[in-house]
Amino acid sequence: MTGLSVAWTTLTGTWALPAALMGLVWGIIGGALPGISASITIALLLPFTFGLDPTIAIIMLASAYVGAEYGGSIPAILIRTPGTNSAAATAIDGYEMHKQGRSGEALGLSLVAGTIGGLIGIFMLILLAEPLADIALAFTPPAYFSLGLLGLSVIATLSEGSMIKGFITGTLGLMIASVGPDPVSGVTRFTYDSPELLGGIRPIVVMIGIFAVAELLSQAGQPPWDRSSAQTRIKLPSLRTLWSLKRSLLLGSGIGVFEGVTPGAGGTVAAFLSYNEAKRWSANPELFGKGSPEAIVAPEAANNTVAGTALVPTMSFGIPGSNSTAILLGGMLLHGLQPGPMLFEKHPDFVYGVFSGLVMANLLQFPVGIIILTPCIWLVNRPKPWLMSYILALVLTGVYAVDHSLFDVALCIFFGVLGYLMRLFGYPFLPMVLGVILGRLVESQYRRALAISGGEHAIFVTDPISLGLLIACALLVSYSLYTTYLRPARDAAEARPESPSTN
Amino acid sequence: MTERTHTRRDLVSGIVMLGVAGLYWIEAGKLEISFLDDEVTVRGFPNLLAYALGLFAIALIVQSVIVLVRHRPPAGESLADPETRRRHGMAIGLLAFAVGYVLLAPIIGYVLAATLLIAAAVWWQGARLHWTIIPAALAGAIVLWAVFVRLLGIQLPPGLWF
Repeated sequence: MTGLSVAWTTLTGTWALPAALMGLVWGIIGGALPGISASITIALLLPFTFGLDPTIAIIMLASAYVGAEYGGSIPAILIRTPGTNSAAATAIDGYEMHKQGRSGEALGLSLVAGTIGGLIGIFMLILLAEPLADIALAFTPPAYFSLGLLGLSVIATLSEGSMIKGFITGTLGLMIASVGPDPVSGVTRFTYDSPELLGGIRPIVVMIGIFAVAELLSQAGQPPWDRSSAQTRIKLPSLRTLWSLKRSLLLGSGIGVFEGVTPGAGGTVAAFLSYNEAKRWSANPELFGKGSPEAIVAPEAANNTVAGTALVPTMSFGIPGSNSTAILLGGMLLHGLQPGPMLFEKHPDFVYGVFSGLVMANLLQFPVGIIILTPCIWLVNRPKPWLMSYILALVLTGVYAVDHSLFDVALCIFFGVLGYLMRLFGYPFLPMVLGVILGRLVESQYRRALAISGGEHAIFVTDPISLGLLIACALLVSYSLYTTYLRPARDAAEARPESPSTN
Repeated sequence: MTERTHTRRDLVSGIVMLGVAGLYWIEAGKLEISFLDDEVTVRGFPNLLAYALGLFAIALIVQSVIVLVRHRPPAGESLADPETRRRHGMAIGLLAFAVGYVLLAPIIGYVLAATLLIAAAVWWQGARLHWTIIPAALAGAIVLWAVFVRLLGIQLPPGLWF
């Protein structure tokens, strides 16, 4: 009841509603721009939240996440260029529908499925986040260290590219986090007499660098995207049509719930998995790839559900499950909030305020999605060099605004180059971001645990929660090693034709 | 890009990472231990990270060598490919403008530096060279300045003459 009254007060007595609306509009526009992913959209909005109350700021950022997931489907359907990675599955049948003159229908399906998926996602967030945070309250320093290790292992093993590269970037992230004051003695490390590094490197500077600046550098060499017809109008599906699509809708949302709460999976995996499962369970699987409404509904419901459920590990454990939630977590840190179980204890107003803002953002998505389509198409049709150049200026201005520091801007550009090289060499970003975010927590809990045990590392296996988490970590890595190295070798041996008989 | 290109890049990056691990370990060894330190000391965790990175780098090197020796994947696209070089060239150009912005902003101020950045980036990315680029870039810079300084109250570099 307290939660409900807090949520109501936040909605009626603060700027939560306009913030949700602004975040949503920003998110849809950002998501609709090819190359500007949901995480970059959130990162670009971050500097505009500095003067705001933390609750309002995070509502705005989380609403942008919600909006970006829908916005990504607009260019996916109209020009076969997904605005966000998670809209790539939508592009397959969405563009086919567009070619058949059914783009309005595809956009309508995407909007309705996204809204329903989003509401299911936020419902699951409200249902799961606090109970999980209560469990996390029982965590001791060794358990927290093991949780950080498990989070990094999950992300590293599930990341694109090889698992070894995931672990390398995760370790590099922890190294970046080690710059600045030592958590126990306060001795500065790796600062090389630079006053700007005395407080350490802000995770948000790293994130904007490796997500946004690296993307802009990559986009510079890419050809311009196609232009869309400005005459498109949304055609909403009838209730009868929606009822006929219920299986795909539920499949997409179900997979979205599961993938959202699993760190490392994210909206893209959920969308493609939903596409495949919807096809498997469809009465008309032969229509997939030829403009099937089910193929729009399932991935869109999935990636919009993930926008809510990906916040579960972020808020309950302080471990972001995707690039977008990593930026959101960075936003919370920037506003003086430490995500994790204590967030629910210390800042219940914030938690319930954010929940209420997210419900409103998902409800508003429906009317806003209809109204904003024409401006989005207009923006997508602007010349790419202009759009990218303004965005570059906005990124660099935003990073300066974090701490009034040109050093931070230079650092952000450095991480942009690093991100560009990581992309070139096939290294995943997310483990590094997670390492930067979790670095302080992992080190301080490691040292606290050893201080409690008098230097005995056995504490990590004598603490039952820590032991359970370490076993989960070992199982996960072993399974990944098996699927990456042993199974392909075995399959290759089995597939090898038998040598001809000498008889 | 072919498997061979990937594997060779893995080998190169593995060697670089091994170097990074070594450097980090040397630097960690130079950290001063405070009397306030615990048993792990200020060097303990960085040393652990250096060992971990070294181990992962060696694993990547070994994996790449095995793939190169056993499977001998065919050679493919390389950095010498004209299209690849063009793409990297475009990125390097944009990077140079961004660095130029950081160097110029404290001297000529935010508005002028951002105007130059936008105009140069627009031109570099293929827009037709026309006098309208400058006023359009200036308008963009002024809008950003107004939003940050006037609306959000965040000061931007004023430059030496303000």
